[in-house]
Amino acid sequence: MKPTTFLVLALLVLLLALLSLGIGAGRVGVPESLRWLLQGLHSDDAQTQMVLAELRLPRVLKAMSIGAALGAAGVLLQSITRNPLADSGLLGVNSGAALAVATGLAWQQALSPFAQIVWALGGALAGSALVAGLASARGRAVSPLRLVLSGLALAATCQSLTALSTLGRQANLDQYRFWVLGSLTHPHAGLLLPGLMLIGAGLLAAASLARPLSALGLGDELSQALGHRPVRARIAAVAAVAVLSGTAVAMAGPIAFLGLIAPYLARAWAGTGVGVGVGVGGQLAGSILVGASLLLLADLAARLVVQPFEAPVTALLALLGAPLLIWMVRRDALLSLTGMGGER
Amino acid sequence: MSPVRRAGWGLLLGLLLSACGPQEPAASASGPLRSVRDAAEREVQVPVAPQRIVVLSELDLDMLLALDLRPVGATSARGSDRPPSYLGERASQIESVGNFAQPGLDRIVMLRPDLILAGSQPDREWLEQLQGIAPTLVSFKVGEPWQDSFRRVAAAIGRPMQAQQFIDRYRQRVADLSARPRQAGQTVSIVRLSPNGPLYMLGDAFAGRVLADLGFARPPAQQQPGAGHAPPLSREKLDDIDADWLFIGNFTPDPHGVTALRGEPAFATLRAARRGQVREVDASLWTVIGGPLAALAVLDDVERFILPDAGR
Repeated sequence: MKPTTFLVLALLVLLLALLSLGIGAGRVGVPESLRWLLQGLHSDDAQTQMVLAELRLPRVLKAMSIGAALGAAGVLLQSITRNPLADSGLLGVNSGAALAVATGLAWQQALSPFAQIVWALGGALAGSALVAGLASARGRAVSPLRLVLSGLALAATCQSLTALSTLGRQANLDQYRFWVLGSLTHPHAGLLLPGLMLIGAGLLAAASLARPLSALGLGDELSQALGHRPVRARIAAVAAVAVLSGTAVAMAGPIAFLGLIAPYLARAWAGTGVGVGVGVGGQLAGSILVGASLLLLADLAARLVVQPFEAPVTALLALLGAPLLIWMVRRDALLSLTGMGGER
Repeated sequence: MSPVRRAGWGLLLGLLLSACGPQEPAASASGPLRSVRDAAEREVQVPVAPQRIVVLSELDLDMLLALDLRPVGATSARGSDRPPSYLGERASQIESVGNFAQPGLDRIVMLRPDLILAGSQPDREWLEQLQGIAPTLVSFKVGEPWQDSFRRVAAAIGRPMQAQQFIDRYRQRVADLSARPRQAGQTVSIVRLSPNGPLYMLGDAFAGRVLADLGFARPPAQQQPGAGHAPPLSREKLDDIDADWLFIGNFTPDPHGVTALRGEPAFATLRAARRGQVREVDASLWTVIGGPLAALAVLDDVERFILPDAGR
């Protein structure tokens, strides 16, 4: 990825984050929010302080980190499964989290925000562990095809179990439906920091996997010859994906589509022009920035289109993302996974 | 249920019914008929004294119970598997014909009704299918005062006097409560919880009208026309739901929703919160299209919360 593209994307994220901080339903505008930032996150006006510190900043951080997490998870998944259509739905992450939340609701009738997040994260981790376990059963190597198939099987099982347990009770169905919509609005103050830390750890893990995964793109034998361990790299990547998208789904509900299109957009942006390859590292960096800016943009739109009300962020994400995807297809950008020829 | 599926069921039922023999609409057995005009301006032949009524909305159930008639079947309340809880014992043991807005035609047929109250159902095709089972009335228009719906239904089933007596009783109770000493000009806000933000009820909503009868005003945002609720409100604009009193309805028996909202800094700065005048209420009473019994229950809540210390 060219440094200039990277810089432009980083500036875009920064700009969107500042806009997100400065625009909302309340009276607080861009000048106040800039002053607030310059004064070290402090304002003498209690209302301004409350809106910026308690509502907008957590929301900006949440959108940014979840967008980054889903973007990174998308790249990891697409490269370990060698499937350009892979997103976190595929690894049983979303369906595992959904089943866990539904089970929690059926069991305890109602879940506190904290309990909901614990259930969702537990379900996401258990789901992906199960997929990885199934894919590597009987001591065979974890192959992309086995990962995809076991992911599909587990997702289908979880979905039907979720349907069974939620359709039984109308009240549970209601709560579950709200959860499944996905939302960034809830200021779970105490849960932001742990979430950010988990995502940070996941992103670090993803970065450290960039080299082995790039080598993996050349084929298992060649990457082994280069001194990497394909199976171990895949399992580590599955774990990173589970932490990244599990935390995202726990913080905001399942946000579909982003994990699929962010890597594409990153590749399209980075890979234009020359035939220079785009390694997994470049894709990761690009996809993290694209994911963060897309979710920031969708969240900004969610609070602006029906101001002072809130529109569902997932709907706006699809509305914004789909035209971008179509534009990319029309432009015939670099649609293959890598430019290095590892696919053929 | 999708229209296609409904149509499929209707067709199937039509075949079954026609196969049963010549005595087609089961209802015609129950005696003399008369012609009524329902809320959708349809002319319907209904039995003069219906005995087996099936109701498909919360308001219909409420109205019939207020007229001392027990329906043979009813749909559950919104977001629940049971009738609205404010109806208490009165609504127990009534056969369920399905969840809110999703009645099962087969269950309705099994109950052999001689009259169906279809709520505000706008779907003509669906009404035709119900009509194939028994005479079917659209019982109310969304946004009209409950008294109008009540009088219409009472007239259709031949109990207009009872409805008038009930309405008089309501008026008397409103007059009694209004006579109690209270601080002038207090405003009351009515809100339903949702995870994306609170939804406030609009100006023509049922509970707001009952409060207006008592002389309580709503905050400005909640005076906009409309019978339903606004979309989830941004937490930056929570002052739109602020008032002297704030009534929050929650459907699910979820104790965390209101507690979590109360704990948020944006909520704690509201006038109602600072004065300790936030009350949790039953959403299936305060934030739905309620009827006569619901109106009395809202009066009870207001008496309990706002006008408690004045003796009777």
